[in-house]
Amino acid sequence: MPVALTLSVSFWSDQFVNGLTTGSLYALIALGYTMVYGVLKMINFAHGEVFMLGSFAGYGALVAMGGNELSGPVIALAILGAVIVAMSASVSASVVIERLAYRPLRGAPRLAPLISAIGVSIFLQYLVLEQTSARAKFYPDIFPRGSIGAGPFEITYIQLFLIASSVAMMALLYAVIQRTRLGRAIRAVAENPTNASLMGVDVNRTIVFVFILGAAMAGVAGVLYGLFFQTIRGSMGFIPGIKAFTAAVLGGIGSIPGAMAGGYVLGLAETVGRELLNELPGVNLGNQWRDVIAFTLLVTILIFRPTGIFAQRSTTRA
Amino acid sequence: MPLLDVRDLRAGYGAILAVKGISLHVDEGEIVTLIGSNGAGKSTTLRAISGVIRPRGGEVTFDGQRIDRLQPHAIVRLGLSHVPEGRGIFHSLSVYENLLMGAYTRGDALHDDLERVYRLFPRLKERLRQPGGTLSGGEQQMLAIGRALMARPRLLLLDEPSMGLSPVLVETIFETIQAIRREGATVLLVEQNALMALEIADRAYVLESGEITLAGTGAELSRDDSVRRAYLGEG
Amino acid sequence: MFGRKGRSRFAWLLLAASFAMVLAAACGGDDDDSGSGGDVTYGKAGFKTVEIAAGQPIKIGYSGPLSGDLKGIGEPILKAIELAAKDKTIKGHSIQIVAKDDLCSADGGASAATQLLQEGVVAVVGPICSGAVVAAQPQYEQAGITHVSPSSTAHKPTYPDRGQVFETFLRTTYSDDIQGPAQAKFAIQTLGAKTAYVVYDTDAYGTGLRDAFTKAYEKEGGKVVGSEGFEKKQTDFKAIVTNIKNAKPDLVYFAGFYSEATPFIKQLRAEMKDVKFLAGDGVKNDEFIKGAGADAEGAYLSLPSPVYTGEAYKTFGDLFEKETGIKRDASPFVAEAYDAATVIIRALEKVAQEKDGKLVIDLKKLNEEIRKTELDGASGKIKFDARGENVGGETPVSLFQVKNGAFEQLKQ
Ligand SMILES: Nc1ncnc2c1ncn2[C@@H]1O[C@H](COP(=O)(O)OP(=O)(O)O)[C@@H](O)[C@H]1O
Ligand SMILES: [Mg+2]
Repeated sequence: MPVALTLSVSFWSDQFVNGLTTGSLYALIALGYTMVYGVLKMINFAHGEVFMLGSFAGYGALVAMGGNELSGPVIALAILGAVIVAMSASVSASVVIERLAYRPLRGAPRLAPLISAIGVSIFLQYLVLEQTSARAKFYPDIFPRGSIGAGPFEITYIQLFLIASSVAMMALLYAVIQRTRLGRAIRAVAENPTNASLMGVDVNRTIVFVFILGAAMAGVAGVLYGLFFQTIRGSMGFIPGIKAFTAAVLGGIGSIPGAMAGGYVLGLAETVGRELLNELPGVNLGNQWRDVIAFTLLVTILIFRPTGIFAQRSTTRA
Repeated sequence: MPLLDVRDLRAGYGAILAVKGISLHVDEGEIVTLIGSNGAGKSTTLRAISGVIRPRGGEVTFDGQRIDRLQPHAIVRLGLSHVPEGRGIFHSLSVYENLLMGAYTRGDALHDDLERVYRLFPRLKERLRQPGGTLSGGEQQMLAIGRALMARPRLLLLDEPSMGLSPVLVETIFETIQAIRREGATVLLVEQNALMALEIADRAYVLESGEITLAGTGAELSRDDSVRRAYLGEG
Repeated sequence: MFGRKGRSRFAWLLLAASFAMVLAAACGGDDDDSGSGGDVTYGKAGFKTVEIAAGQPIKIGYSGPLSGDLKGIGEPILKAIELAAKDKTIKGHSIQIVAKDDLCSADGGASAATQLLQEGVVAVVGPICSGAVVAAQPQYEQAGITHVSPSSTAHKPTYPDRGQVFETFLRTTYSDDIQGPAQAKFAIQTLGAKTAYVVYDTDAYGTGLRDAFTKAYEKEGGKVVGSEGFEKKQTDFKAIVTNIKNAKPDLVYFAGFYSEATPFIKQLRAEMKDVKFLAGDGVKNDEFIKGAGADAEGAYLSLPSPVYTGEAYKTFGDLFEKETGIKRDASPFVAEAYDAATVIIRALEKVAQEKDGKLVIDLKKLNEEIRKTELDGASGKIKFDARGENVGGETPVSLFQVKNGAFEQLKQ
């Protein structure tokens, strides 16, 4: 059915960029879900909180380095520092969670680690809510404002930075998984841990690396989120966590390119998709509908294509 | 001192004791075969040696070192490679990546080892970029053995390498096993195809219901009446 | 997509679609009920008589946000209530304020009500937020406990869905039916904003203010060019900002709290430096300026409170600042809260009776006494109509602009 779009080109290109922005964040976080699922067949529900902890650590680092007082080229260094601190925090948290909450349950019925994960998620969320008396923290407002582009196609600096660094991180991760010895070991463990161990792969150590890689991505996402939205709070991991999980399912859980693609599909569905629906006569879905759209997508995918929208064979990954 | 020394080994699954206290040894440079009917406990024995399952009792010594409490990846590092029943190919990894996985424990240059595998199995060289899962059964068995060789093992445990292969391919596999031995490796071979296994083996053990009932040289056992009746389809 | 199993798939799709509709209904806007004014019929409030043993305090409840983002609203209000009750005794009984954190949410309001009723309070100040008020009203009504909100401004508490007005609810602040039109008039006449984009919290407060403003604004000749809701704790306002950019309104009208206004205005100002911004009492808080920094500059805010001029406000303000260390205008509704507590305490003084060494309080009489109040309070004159609406004040809306990191009151 042809629908004449009533809104301007610049509107659509703006919404497209917005979709890519949130999509980048979903994709970065989704990688952690999909990789852990790949090796452990377990949904790491605490991953949203790993993202949240990274965001808080990055906030702490930026404030310690001068916060809103930062100016000039130092800002670039400060952001790099914040990213490193955030990655370290997310990685440490994730390693501790794996060791204390998941590894002792390896081999237990599949529900056990899932419940443990939900427990850890709630624990961390309330721990941070308690520490901050449940109030929002505001990221230092240091990222230069303004935009580049021509005519109707414009993108703000922060959005460009967010999308570019997400894509760079994902490319890096993809290279690690595809091209390195560690990446091969991860893929081997995902396919068959016993056979991988017969090759000399230390399966436990490899699983820890999977958590590390996923957490590093989440840590970066935490800082990018903070710089972009500027507001963080203890409960911030919940919705992006579920959205990222949705993205991972969209792409076929266990598949790394699938998680990335799923993130962007979801980000665009919430923005461009919603506005396209609004072009239909009689439809007016406000911003508050985005979650409804995301979860309708999740339910639909689970019903019609539980292996994800891109999957051809049931066990492909990597 | 034997390269591999197994004493009074017991192993099983849950309530099942599948291996009930067996002893065997393999000397450096030998081909030793373990034969027995389906369900006798042959694979379980190999799994207990390579650490895939933890022994319930007894001792396993490799090159003078106790290995019965070690994790499989640590045992591989000592120079013991296990090609499991069903080959254990990584279907999603390419043939080349499967070979690299075989050399996972090694940090040195792999060029010569790759060349050796290509020489033994020219078919693999043509299929390097293909996912392991797309290979035929025979090619997968070649890849499994080739991959195990990439670790430069001192002892190779092979679990039914001839299973499901055409007679011609079985022939090739057995020739390869002998070639490997000539190049210096030691082999513990589990086979249902007892006739061929006994032909190439220096020594052999017969396993029945988790216990060793006969032992001797390959030639001795292939002349034994009970063995001929039970495993060589005679009588 | 519709393959061999086309028909069953279609059934599933329908199921998924209906699932989406249910979700949508749960978070969508509410149906318009706009009040008929006139006649007031009360439901059946469950008034009882309570006894307080000798030596026991009289308990007055408080329900409001004491943690979370909106602690900045709830805490100063609680301090003002405690100040009103401090050192007061009624026939030898001291007054104890029992405070429950309701997080400004509907769920929180209902569970705080349950807890306060169990504690045996005789009256309540609160809830603070309209969403919590609407959720808690039936419980207070059933228990016959009168509650006076110092800050709930929504239309709904005094015009409930089912038509019957809650006898146990009153408020010392003014309804958005007053704030909305005043904002609309200000937007058109003072700011000269012909078009507005409305952004609202989907709770009772946000939707109420949205409706009140929209109606009045259009009546004044303005045009609402877009309207979009958000959830509490939302931080991503990018898509809304894009829509606003596209609509090019003269004014962005925000109906919600400072906790969401802060990230919103930062994201708005990143792309639209000059569009005018107007919001209500939920945003008029020092926390907004602290959080939004330079981006808060120039924002217009309104309060459904009179321009505080009375002597009583000065006396209260001095005392409040001395006792609590909080500035009197750092957060709104503290004077209204002080008055709400005072209204309750004065009525208690009149109706509490001593009998056999116990203090007996007839809750029905307490309610009637509170309704009869005429007080020259800290926040101005207080007098209630049959719906529990405060009709005492004369100029009950004041307007502010953020200038140099502070709220500057505008002349009207
Ligand atoms: N994973 C397993 N779980 C439980 N029982 C097993 C398992 N693998 C083998 N068994 C049992 O252990 C016994 C020995 O099996 P196995 O060692 O595989 O025999 P073989 O290799 O000689 O055919 C059999 O009774 C078999 O059913
Ligand atoms: Mg077997």
